[in-house]
Amino acid sequence: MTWQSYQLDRKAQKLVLNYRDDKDVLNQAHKMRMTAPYGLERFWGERLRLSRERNNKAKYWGDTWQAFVEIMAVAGVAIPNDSVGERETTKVQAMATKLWALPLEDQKVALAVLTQFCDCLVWWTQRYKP
Amino acid sequence: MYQKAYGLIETLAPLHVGATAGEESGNLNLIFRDQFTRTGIVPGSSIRGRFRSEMYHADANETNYWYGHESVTGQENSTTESLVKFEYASIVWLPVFCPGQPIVWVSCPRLLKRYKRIAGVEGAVPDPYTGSSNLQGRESGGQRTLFFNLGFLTIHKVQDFTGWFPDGIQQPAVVVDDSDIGMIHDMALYRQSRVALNKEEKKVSEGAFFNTEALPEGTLMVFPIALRKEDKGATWNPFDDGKEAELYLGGLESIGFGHCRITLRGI
Repeated sequence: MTWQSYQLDRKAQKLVLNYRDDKDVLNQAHKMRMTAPYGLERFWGERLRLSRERNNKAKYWGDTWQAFVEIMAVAGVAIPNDSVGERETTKVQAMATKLWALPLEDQKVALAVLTQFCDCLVWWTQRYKP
Repeated sequence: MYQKAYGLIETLAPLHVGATAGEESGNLNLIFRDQFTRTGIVPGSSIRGRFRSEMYHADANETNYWYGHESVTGQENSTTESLVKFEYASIVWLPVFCPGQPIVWVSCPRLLKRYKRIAGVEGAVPDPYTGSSNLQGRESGGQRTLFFNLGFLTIHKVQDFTGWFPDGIQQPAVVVDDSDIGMIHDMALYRQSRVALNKEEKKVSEGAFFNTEALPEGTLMVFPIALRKEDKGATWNPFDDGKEAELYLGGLESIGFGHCRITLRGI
């Protein structure tokens, strides 16, 4: 097999189904789609802001990032994925530095895939939202 | 018997040639596709219709001479054979979005084989997963990878594709397997949801929502032409000046589709 699909739809559907019962959380897919073009760091960092709220929003962003990291790993692009708490400033800084240090070529590929992945999430959200 | 010629289409805007959205497709305007590769085509009849109407504005009699006379009710033997015959246009190179590049031209052996037959390209048809010598790929672990937004592919070898581009200028390009081109083609198509607005106010007319797909801008296509030489004196001159013209193909001019550059060779 020389052409390999990232299987974005399959992974997006799974994520949406996992969160479908939580209406507030499900709508995050639209916000993810909006954030994606601003860059990997902003997308990754959004969960830190959301973690102050006592709901699953931050977890949804985290799971999406996790799925994205796995997708890119299959394609041979390593995306940083440290476990960082909201208050751990140095770790936040380290993670941002790692993301910005990715080769520009990889950043472009990663952002294109992330944007497409969010499109898939939005598509499934529209189908499955209660 | 016939003089062989061919035409090249370069899309200057998205190109939609297909059936109108009927009951069978809902509000989805699909383009016509080749039976085997599932890639976009322009039917010969569509090309012929456009050529015929271009000539008709200048001279209706000449139109009937080259494209045949229609049947007239009550008159026997009123139809005549067309002296110029067209076949469908198939894709030679399809531009696909590729992060960071931002365009890579994609084709497959089957499409290039047709192009070779029509245009008489020299040399063997490139193998699947051959890249052009100017293609940027990401090197890792001894493999060259090319990323798209829905998947990625590995390039097995590199070759000079200059002869495979009609204008002799090599673009970043890759040849993929015949079984993969259909999927990559679907990923590359220009797709949008559109609405028609109310005549009186800026709001959507009832039921006027539609989805449309089109071949992207920059697509290169080829179609064969057969010219029957009956009258030695006459030359078929479809365009006002020379062998190149900008024409509209397809029926979606109103939403900004169909602008093409057509170049004729061998006439």
